Amino acid sequence: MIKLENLCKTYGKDESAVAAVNNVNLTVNDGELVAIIGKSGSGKTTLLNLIGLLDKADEGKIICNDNEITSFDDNKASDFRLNHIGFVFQFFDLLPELTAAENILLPSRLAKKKAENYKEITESLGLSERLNHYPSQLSGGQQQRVAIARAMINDPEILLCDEPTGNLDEKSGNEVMDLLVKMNRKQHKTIVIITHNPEIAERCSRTVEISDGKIISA
Amino acid sequence: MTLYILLKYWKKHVKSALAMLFAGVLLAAIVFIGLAAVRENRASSFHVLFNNDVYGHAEIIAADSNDEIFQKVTEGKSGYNYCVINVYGKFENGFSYGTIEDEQNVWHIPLTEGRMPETADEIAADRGALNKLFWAGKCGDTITIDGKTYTVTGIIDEYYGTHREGAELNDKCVVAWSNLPQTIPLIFVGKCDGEPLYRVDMFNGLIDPNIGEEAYENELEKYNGILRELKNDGKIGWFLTISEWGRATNQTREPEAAFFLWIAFIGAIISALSVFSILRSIFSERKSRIEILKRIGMSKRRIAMMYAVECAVFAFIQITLGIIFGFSAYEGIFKLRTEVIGEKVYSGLTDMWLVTHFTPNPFLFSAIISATVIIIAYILCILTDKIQRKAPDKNAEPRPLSKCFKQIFSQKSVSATQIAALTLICFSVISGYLYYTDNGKYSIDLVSYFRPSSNYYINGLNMEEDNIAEYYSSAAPTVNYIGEKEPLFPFVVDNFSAGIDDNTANTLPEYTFSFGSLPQTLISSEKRKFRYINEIDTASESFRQGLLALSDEEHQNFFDEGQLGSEYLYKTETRLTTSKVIESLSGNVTEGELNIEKLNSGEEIIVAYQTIRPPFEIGETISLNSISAGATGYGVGEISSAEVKISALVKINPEEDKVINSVVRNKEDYNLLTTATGAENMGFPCAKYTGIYALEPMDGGLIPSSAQMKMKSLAMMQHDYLVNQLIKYSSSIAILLVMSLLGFAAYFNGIGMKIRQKKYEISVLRAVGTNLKELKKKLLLESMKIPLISTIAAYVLVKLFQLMNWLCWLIEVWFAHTYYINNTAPPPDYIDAIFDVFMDIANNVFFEEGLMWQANAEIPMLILFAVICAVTFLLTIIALRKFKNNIAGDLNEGRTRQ
Repeated sequence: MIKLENLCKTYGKDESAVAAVNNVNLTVNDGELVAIIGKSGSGKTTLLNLIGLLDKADEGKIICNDNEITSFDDNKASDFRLNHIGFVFQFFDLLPELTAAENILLPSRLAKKKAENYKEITESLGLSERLNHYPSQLSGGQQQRVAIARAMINDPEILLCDEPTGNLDEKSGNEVMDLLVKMNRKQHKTIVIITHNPEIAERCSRTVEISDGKIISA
Repeated sequence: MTLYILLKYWKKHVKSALAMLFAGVLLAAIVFIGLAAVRENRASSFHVLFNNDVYGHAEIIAADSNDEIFQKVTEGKSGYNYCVINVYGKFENGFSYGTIEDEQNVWHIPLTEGRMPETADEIAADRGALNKLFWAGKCGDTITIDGKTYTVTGIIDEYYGTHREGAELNDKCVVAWSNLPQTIPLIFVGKCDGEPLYRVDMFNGLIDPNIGEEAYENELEKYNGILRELKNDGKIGWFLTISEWGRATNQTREPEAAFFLWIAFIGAIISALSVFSILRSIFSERKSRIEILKRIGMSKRRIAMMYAVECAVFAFIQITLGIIFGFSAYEGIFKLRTEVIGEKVYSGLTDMWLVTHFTPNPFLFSAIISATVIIIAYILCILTDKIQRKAPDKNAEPRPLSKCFKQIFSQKSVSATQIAALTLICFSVISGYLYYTDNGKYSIDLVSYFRPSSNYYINGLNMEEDNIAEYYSSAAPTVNYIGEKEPLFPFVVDNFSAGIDDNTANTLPEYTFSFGSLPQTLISSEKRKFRYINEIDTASESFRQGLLALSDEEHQNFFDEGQLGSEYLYKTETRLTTSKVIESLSGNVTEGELNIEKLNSGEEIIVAYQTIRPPFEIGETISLNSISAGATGYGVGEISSAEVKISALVKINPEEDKVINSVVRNKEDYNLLTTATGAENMGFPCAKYTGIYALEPMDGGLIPSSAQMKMKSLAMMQHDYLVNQLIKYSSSIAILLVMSLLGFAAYFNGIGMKIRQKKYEISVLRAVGTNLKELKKKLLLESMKIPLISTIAAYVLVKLFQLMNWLCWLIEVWFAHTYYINNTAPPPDYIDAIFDVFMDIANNVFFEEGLMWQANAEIPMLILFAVICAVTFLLTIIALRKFKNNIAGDLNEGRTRQ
């Protein structure tokens, strides 16, 4: 379970300060597939970054599986991200110097775990023939699938996806969404997806709407 | 449009632009400073040659002249140098020697050591002449020429006698030019009586070569005319005008120019590598942007134009700023050296024709080189950009994590630049250190090998090593010699008045050692003593006739029965020292006893030796004599004799106490030893202490002025030496420092740049869960590899450099030795001695401490390595500090750059 309590994040100072996340309270239960929707600049990505410990909140708490993760130092935060969270970025963020296989296996090697589900993940994502290619040699859909595989390799409880289909064509986007839904149903992964696509949001079990850093509906 | 795109890009990538400009500005500045230093070297050597004239060249030489030549030639002129040599001595059948009118005006006669002679028993001679006389000593030692003994006060640079156009060093120890009836000596004495054989006027610096070759030759012809007129009028004997044009334009005597060019070259290479690696990174960073531009319709031609404009702008800025910076740095260093340190150098930024015509223009060349480098860098980057990533190997296994990290952080071009830069810098710094260390000087002078040259040597002792704080000395008694073979017959000239006696010596502090010498003392014996050393051959009739001819009237019977000359005579030096020193030898007595009272009374005398027991018995009485020169200065004038008893044999080990050895011993198997009072009571003239060693600084007022003693202070000599070294090397050190700092700056610049360029990768790794601490550790280890590889590579290069120098030195020594043997006829034992020295060098010298090729390079290398590691560590930590908690922000920024 993910619980956000009075979460705040402000960028800038004094007159130019912007409250990207403004006193947000939200609970995501285990196994939920939640879509966070909102206009551009509403604070969706900031909220996801805070949950994924990619940024530090100014105020409030985030409780994840009974751990108050907002108080974690860098070591603990890294460890938590490595073992409990999988992050899928809109722009894939694959390391260009590594092959697809190396990108996928990176988190497991960092965690010093054996990637027992590597074959299963890569086959289910249709990447078997592309594992030794570099990201620059893959299509957008393939890159995003590599990013999903990377996010899943350590079998995290939580998957955070920032516009996972944002840079994909409709077909690829639907394929990716099918994967995520399947993971949620079969493996009971808690998945939070940021999207501004209402069709994507419809496929999720719950939709949270955010505007100007505040939750409008949850 | 092109400019618009460029401006937009560079506005967002200011740091990369600055890094690129920094490297380029460095390049231009280094080249500028190096070439300015070359010009400075030439300007300074030109000024030295023509204003101070270290090498003794003259434009006009005229003999048998008087003051009228001076007036005619120098009318209205200023800034020239002038010297008069009066030539005395033998000519045609022996060597020629002369005096200089003004001993202080030594511009003409270049000295490598010491000073010109001032008194009649002093001499300065050209090294080549000394070699011909088979003399291998140094300043302060004596030399006997034509039966007369002199103290050598100065050694003239042999360049004076052997390398001038048309000159030759001949057996007569003179410089001879073809077509001249008379010659110029290479041996100078302090004072000479009588009329000189001829006078030589020498002028230099009358014509400024900067007026150009044609004007110079015209001026010289004008002087030819003046001198011809004087000769026709009988006002001068012969004359010679020498064109210095060739020498003025000769670039060969600029050893330091090569050094500066080498440093500039290294600096330029490092900066050029930096420019390329930064540009390479920029090109790969904006590859995707260029692709986008191509896709939206920008033609290749326009892209090429964009690159060209960018290149031109960078080149212009780099050249402008680089020249300004280089100019300012050079001027700043120059002012520091001339106004603060007081060095006498001439600026390389001069308009002297002789400098600008023969050396590269720093402004022009730094611009050309800078522009060339950046153009080549652009071309190379464009070409390497086209290289495609190779097709993946389908069967390849994913690389292990460590290799993945290596691949992620690999920046081959930047690392290669850094390694090359650091290796070159470390190599240059260590090589420069080796070259400029006190013992690092390269020498093929075999005489120096026997007695290594140092400012602190006196009488075979090293003041620094032997703890002598001060050395007081006065002129020794003059002793003349005659004879047909060694040992020569000695006569002391007893109007000697310098030195101190026992009354004064005994008032000096405990830490002083007073000493003197009577080199003329003779042991006489009615019977031949085969074991005595230095038997003087007086049997020859020609010698006897010669001696009697020089002797005073009352000693014409010198060789008659019952006279001293009829006995066997053995030249045996008597050393003098105080009773305090003699008492300290009580532990060295091997036979007999020391009795100071009887020594002082002149009744007894001691024999000092090193290894072989002297042929005297304790209690034996010997006849000791001293002959004072007669009216001629050579013959028998007065005889002093004493019957003295041998009271003790004292053995001195020169290795155990060098100072005592220097005080009481000479180089013979044995010598006599007593006090000055004892010698005086024996009736010998000139019995004074002429030398004092003080192990601590002493109040010089304790020595009366009548002693005519001069002082050498170790502290002052060390201070002067340091100042001289500082002045001598300050320019090189300053430029070396600047170059090194600039080079190091290029290296350290790369550290920050590497981290900046991998910001995206670092953010992604953190986003997937990599611990920042772990990342920092990996990056630090990665950055430490470069100093390690560089110092190892530099160390290998230094060792090769040392080996190469040793081999070259050996080869040159061999050739010098071989040339000398083939071109002169030294005594056989000299050849053997030289060969032994050579073999000793070949076998052992490579491992002998202190020589350049074996000077310690390890410790300075380790120090340098430690410093570089420390700074690398620090800069890496500082560069990594920017990574904090905002991983998302870093990711965004990194994506934008990607």
